[in-house]
Formats: sequence, structure tokens, C-alpha cells
Amino acid sequence: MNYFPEEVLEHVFDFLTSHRDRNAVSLVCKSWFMVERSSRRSVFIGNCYAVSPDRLIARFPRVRSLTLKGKPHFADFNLVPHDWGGYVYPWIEAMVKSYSELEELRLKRMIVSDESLELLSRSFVNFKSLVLVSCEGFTTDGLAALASNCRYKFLKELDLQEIEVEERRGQWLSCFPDSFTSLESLNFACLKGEVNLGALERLVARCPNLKNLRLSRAVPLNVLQKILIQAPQLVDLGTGSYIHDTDSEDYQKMKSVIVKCKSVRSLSGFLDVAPHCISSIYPICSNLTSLNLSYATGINGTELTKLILHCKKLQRLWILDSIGDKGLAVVASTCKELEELRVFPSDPYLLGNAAAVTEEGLVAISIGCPKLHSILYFCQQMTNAALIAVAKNCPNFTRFRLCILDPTKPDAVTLQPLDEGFGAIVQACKGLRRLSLSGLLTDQVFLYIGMYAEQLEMLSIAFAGKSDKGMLYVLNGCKKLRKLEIRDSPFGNGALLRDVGKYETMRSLWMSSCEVTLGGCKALAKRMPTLNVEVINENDQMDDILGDDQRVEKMYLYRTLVGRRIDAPDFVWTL
Amino acid sequence: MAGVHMGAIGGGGGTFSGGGSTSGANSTLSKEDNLVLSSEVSSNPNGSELDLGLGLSLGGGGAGSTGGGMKAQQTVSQGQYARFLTAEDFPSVISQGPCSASSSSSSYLNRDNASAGTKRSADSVASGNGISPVVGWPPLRTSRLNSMVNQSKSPAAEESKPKSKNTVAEKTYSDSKKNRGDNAMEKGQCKNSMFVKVYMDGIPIGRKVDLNAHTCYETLAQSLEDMFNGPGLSVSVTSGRSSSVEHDMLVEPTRPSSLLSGSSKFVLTYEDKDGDLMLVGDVPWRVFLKSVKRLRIMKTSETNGPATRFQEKNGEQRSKPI
Repeated sequence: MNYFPEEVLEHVFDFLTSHRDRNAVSLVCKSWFMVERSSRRSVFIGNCYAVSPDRLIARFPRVRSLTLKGKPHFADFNLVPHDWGGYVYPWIEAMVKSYSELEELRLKRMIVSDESLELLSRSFVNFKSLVLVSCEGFTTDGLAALASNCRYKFLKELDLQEIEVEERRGQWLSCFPDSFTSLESLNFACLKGEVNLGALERLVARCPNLKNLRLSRAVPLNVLQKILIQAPQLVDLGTGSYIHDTDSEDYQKMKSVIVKCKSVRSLSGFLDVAPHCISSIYPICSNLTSLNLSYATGINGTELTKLILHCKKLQRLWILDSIGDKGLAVVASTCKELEELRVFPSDPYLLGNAAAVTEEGLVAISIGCPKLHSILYFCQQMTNAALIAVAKNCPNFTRFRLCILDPTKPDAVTLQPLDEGFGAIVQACKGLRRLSLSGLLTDQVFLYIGMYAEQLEMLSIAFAGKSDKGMLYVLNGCKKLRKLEIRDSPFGNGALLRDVGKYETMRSLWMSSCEVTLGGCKALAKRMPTLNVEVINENDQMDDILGDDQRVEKMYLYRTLVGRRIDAPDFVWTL
Repeated sequence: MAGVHMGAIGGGGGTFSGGGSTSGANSTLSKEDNLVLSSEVSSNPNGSELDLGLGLSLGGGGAGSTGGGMKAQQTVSQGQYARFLTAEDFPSVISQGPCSASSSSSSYLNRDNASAGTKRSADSVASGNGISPVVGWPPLRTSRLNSMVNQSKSPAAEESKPKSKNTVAEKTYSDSKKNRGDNAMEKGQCKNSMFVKVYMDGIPIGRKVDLNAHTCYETLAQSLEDMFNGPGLSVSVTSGRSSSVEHDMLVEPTRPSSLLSGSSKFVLTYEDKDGDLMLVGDVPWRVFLKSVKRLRIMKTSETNGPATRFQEKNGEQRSKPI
């Protein structure tokens, strides 16, 4: 029984920003369902094949913002063929007819064609924001279409992250019409081709609300200087090339320009840089809350450490391991507000003797940074003792991702597996939602995970475990598990088929180079018609060559409301 | 770095609750030993003898666990397989020092040819102290790998295996950048390839040359000479700048500079950003890089003025046709 008019309910629901809360609210009763449904403005679809565009539109008729994710996470590491799927065009086509008010589209790991971009740009009069992360399939022609057609009042954000764009000769930046002044956020740092520098400068000059600007490598320092003079209000800056000669005039000029950028809180880029250039940044370091130097391979550990000393307010730091354990100790003593740290390897194949980071750096950070809750740490080695200490020092982790470059390396001191260390982490960090494991690991670590990781939503496993028991511990224990991705681990049909209902509570399961056979996958598909069980087999062409008892190379399964997808390529079999 | 000692870690001995070994006295391994072990093992991958499947067999699981002998470990594990270790290999919670777990690091390196149906990179040869690359490991996006793999390693490693490093990366990752040559580490700058077209008068099909593979005009000119010199062609390319002016070149020309000789027939020119035809060599190399759009090896009969005058100046040094 509804005691409130619908407008009131709608107003109340407006305060619910989380998708899960709104989903919960829609389950209360029919009228709440109807009110929530028609007032829902923002929808998040974690797997684009779990629903279809038509069902989305039927369920939520007046959406303004859509987030879509396509390929499974391991596609980032080249484990998924490029044309596996995740095409956005059908979605845009469907939305053109029904969502006239669409303002925002955020895509991750999807295939975006030039046609999609063109259709998008022509169709939605209020379109404000396009964010593409790890997408592919388009060229700068598509960007040019977007720039040409965008409504001069409205487009605010164009954000390209980790994109592979085929770059043609067209100058897409110059396609923004002169009347276009509404830009607030522009990120094209990942583009590799030439940039029309004049068009860029003019664009910056006429967009007074520009707050975020991330430039590509093709933008040289002198242009950066000019841009900063035009836009001292920037909050998020990504430099392009940051090389200036050692003569003092350039250096002084840069320093004097930078000093005026008092609003910059987030700094990234430095795609081309030399050690001596970095000191011109010092004047703004004390304001920075976010610093991403993970692509700045030209800065050595000493310079990095000196830079960090100026950055006392950092909350987020992405850095290369050339900073070394000693450098991390400096981070620990300087950056007391640090919440998120990512340390990337500068020598991922361990070819040189470059100083990398070890467990010492991680422990130092855990001691010095009490607010740390998210870490991605590529290192050469780890020990159980260190992990246990980290767990004790930092029980607040929500995301803990450890990548030992040699993936089955045991405890560097005791040569034991790292079960106990990770066990300590999951036991202490009660709010842990995401975990990535590496190092020598037996089934024991999964026993701990199943026992303690009650909030765990995403787990990434590689080269770990000893038997089916490992995977079963996780499936049985982690009630909130949504995404499980496993590679090169000895889990087979026994684990896969024990509790098939579990997969309906999860978004997806990925298993590659495990012990699962085609027969196992078929059995699962038969028992669970609400799952799409996809086998990706790039080697064999014909079904009868691969027998039921042969291992499948890659299996990806996910729950879905709409059955098998129609756009699967030949090498993907939906069982 | 010194070996890791438990005392260095905050929390002291009391915090280690039932975990793996903690006592510093037991840690007979230093990091150097560990690295040495890895490199010893990795230099002998015997992939072809591995069983299929993930249960790779290890000859003598507990062999060599005499507590002190790193060398004993090495002789046992070299040439052996590796397997997933079970609880039996770790009989007690407290460490007994190095045990057969040490050879587990080889399990990764030797896995390249194992398991039907698993996709591995074609290269299973590890360089001296590297890990053998497997598709998708370490888990980094291609864009990151491209920016890292092409960066400097230690000078020793870079000298010894520059090609294999790049080759390995290319085979593993389909869209990794092209090799950039050994001299790309000048001042720690990170450069991408910068391919420009090169046409030679009289030859309808053009070539492409990566300008970022060079740091001076001399090496560029030599590359071009090599590229376009075929039977019947005698080319030497003149350039306006002598080698001594370039301070920062890392690669010495391997032949006496035929650039400065006035041979005759051809001159190296380029088209700049404004579309003008310019003589190569007048401006500093880096300035040249910023403005060059394409190169053209012109017959001197088509030029007039500066080019021919220049040749007369250097006329006494003739290069031999190649």
C-alpha cells in the first residue's frame, strides 16, 4: 500500500546512489518497483551478454547513463582473442530509438567501431560524457566524427584509457567546431600518433571549464607550457612528453608556469622524460593527492625518491619499482595519507639486475601508511613473515593484489609456499573484496580464503593449488564471490561440477589451462541452462576433433538472462 | 641487497603465528643465492622431457635437503623436472631450511612445453637470469609492457641479450613495438619508432627507415646507403654535418664516414613540416627529428646551388662504390 505519492518516493530514491541499493528497493513491492524503474537514471551492466539491449530498455525506460563491460578481465593480458565479442553497436542502435536523454556512456573492454561513434555522436542531443577503458576497434576517424557532431553546449568529457586506436591521418582534434566550448575533461594520453597542436591549444583556450586534461606523447613541452598558461585552473593534468634541455631558460620557464597551477591535484604522464626534468614539478607537489608515474620509465629511483619527499598529501600513488625498497621506505615516511599504491615492474621479465622491490618495501609501506586499503604490488619475491606483518599492520585492505614476477616462487627465505602469508591477509582484512594471488601456493591457501574471506568478490588465481579441493574451498566458502578467474592451476571437472548452482550467484568464471575437460563443460551446460558456458578453442576447427575427455584451453562461463549470444565467432562454442 | 632477516620486519618474532619459518637462524639463503639458483636452473630447461599435464614429476622430492647445501640443490635440480609440491614436502611448520621447494621455481620455467592444449609462447629459452615468458604473465596490459620492455635493463644484460629480449617480447605479444636498436637509451629517454618514408630518385618503390634507431646523421646515412645499395648502384650520401659535432652519439660509424666524401651522384634531402625541401645535416639532430616528414635521396643533377657547392668542397674524398 502506497502512502506516499510517487513523486515523493522518487525523490527518496534519488538519494540512493548505489546500484545495489536501488536493486534492493525495487524488490519491495510492485509500486516501488514501478517507481524505481521509471526513475532509474543510471544502469551498470557488468557483463554485456548477461542481458540484451531490449531487455534493458524494457526494464528501465528512461536511462541517462549506461556502463557496460564486455570481455573478461584476462583479456587485458592477451588471453582472450580480440574478436571474442563485446560489440557496443547493437546497444547504441537500440538506445537511439528509446533513450533520447542519454548523457553518458562508459565502456570497458568492448569493441567500439567508428560507426558506433558516429551513430552515438549524431543521435543524442544531450550527450555529455564518453569514457572508454581498454576498448578497441575504432580509428581516429571515429573520434573525428564525434568531435564534429558533438553538441557545442553539452559534451563535457571524452576519456580514453588504455585504448588501442588505429590512427589515421585525419586531425580529429581540429574537428571540434569553434563554437564548442563546454569541454571539462579530455584524456587522450594513450594515443600514439600526431596531434594537431594548434587545434589543441585553441581548444584549451576556448574551454574555460576544462578541469582534466591528459595529453599524449606527441604533445611537446613547449605546447604544454602554453596550455598551462591558458588553463591554470586544471585539476587533473597528464603531461605528454616532458623533456626539456638542461639549459636553464626552459627549466625556469616551466617552473614559473607550473607554479601558477595551484589547483592541480592529480598528476600523470611523463611518457618521455629525463631525470633532470623532474625537479621543475616540485612547486606543485605539495598539493598533489594523486600521482601516476608508472609510465615514466625515464626517471630513476633517486629522482623518484626526491620527488616523493615533496608529496606529503598523496592519497594515490602509481609508480615503477625502480623506486626500490629504500624509496618505498621514503614513501612510507612521507605519505601518511596514502590509500592506494600500485608498484609496477620496470623489468617484467627479470632480464637485468635492476633494483626491484621485495617484501621489505611492502612491509615498510604497511607500517608507515595506516590508511592504505588498496594495493597492487609487482615484486621479485615475498615471504610469509612479511605478509603476516603486513596483515597485522594493515587490516583495512579492500583490494590486495600481489604479483611475484616468477609466479611459482616460494617464500624467499624459508622456501615454503606462501599459504600462511595470504592466509594471514584474508584473516585480518575482514573487508577484503578483491584478491590476486601469486607465488608457490597449495590448496591450503584456498582453505583459508574459503574460511575467512567473507566479503571477497573477486579472486584471481594463477599457477596455484594442488587439487580440486582448492577450488572447492573457495566456491563453498566465499559467499559473496562474483568473479573468479583461474589460469594454469590443477582444478578439474570435480571442482567445476560439484556445486553448479553457485555460478548463478556469480557474474562469471574463467578457467584457462586447467584440468577441465570438454565433457565437464558440456555436463555443466546441460545442468545449468541459465549459464552460457563458452569454450574458446583457437586451435581446433571441428567439434569432433576435440574429444570429451580432452582438456579445454579456455572456458568462460557467465549467468545470463538471454541465452546464448548470436555474435559469437567460430572459435567460441557455447555449449 | 642483504639477505632478508626477520628482525628487520616490524613486529618482531612474536607476531609469527604458526606461519612458515621465521627464525633468522634458519635462513641460510641470501638473496644472491636465490638469484643464482634461479639462473642456474633456468639455463637448463628440459622441456621436452616433461610429462603432459600439470603434475610434472620431480625426481626425488626430498633430495638434497641437507640443510646447508645450496650447491647440492643445484646439482639435484638441474635437469630435473618440477612438480606441484604437496604437504608431504613440508613435513613441519617450522622450516628445516632449504628443501626441494627450491626447484619449484623451475616448474614455471620448464612448463613451456607441457600440457596439451595450453598455449605457450614459442620461446622457451630463458636468457641468463630471466624468466621464460608465458602468454599473459606477468599480468600487465600491452601498453605497459611496450613502455617497459623497451627500456633499459642493466648495461650487462642489455649488451648480452638485446635482441633476444626484444624478440621474446615480440613473439609473445602480437602488437609490441618494433625493436628500437641498442642506442635508444640516451639520457634515459623513451622513444617510440619513428618511421619515415625514403625515396631515391630513379627507384619507384620507397622504403621506410626508423629515425629513432639513430642518434646522428652518420648512422642514418649509413643505413640508407645499405638500404639502397644494390648491384649496380653506387651511392654515397652526403650530409652537411661532420660527426664530431654530434656530442651525444652512442654509436660510432663503423666505416670511415663516406658521408663527408663528395661522391657524386646523390644527396640526402628531406621534406620538413612546412613542405619545404631541405638539405639533411644543417640543424642539430634533435631539431631535425622534430621537423622531418620524409626523406629523399636526390640525384645531384637535379639540385642546384648549395648541394653542388658542398660537393665541390669535399670533392677530394671520394668513397669507393660499394
